[in-house]
Amino acid sequence: MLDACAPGWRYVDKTHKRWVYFRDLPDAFRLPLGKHGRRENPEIQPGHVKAMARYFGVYDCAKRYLRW
Amino acid sequence: MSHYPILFGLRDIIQGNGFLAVVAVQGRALLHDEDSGEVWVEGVNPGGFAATGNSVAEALEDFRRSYRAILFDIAEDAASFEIFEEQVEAFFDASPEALEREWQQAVQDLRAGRLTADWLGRRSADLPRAITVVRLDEPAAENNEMEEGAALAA
Repeated sequence: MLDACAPGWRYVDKTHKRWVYFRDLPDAFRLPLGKHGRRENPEIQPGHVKAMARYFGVYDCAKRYLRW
Repeated sequence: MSHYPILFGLRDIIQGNGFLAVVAVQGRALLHDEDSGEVWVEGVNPGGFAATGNSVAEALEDFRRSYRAILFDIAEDAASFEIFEEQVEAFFDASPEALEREWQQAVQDLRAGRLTADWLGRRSADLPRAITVVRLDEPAAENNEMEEGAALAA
């Protein structure tokens, strides 16, 4: 979804959160990591993705891909 | 789905790289509940994160944990107190206009009675919002302050 709706997006995993960046905005959207900071099973739920889409201003596009 | 305007007051002592800092925030968030019963809280000031729970209390607790985790991440990357302060202020200020408008609309809806909620106390939506970052060089018990927690903005 992000490839289509937020091209150029990138993320950085920090100790406590996954920081997702879009465009040249300095501010990121932070997603949860798994318990104890595990990367292999992040606790990202659809609601986090919706909130991220709203934050980046791409909610309408994201809806089409994720069928909310 | 209704969006409820939330105010919150939180206070943290953060360990940075060579410094201690007190971060006190008077912030805003939007709360809504899904058909599934899940409750979601989205940050407005500061923005850029969301939290969830099976109840308002759970969601606000998850929000509090998420906020603190972000401060920890900022502290980890900040080589100095000045950089930490700058990054925390940027975190607080970064708020999409669309979310700000939704929050204001939710306040109007609550005031007009189009929204009803008795599960949280109320505070004035007109109270100033701010984040302060103070270097803690001389700890003193007299500086301890209780945080205000969350309330509906009315």
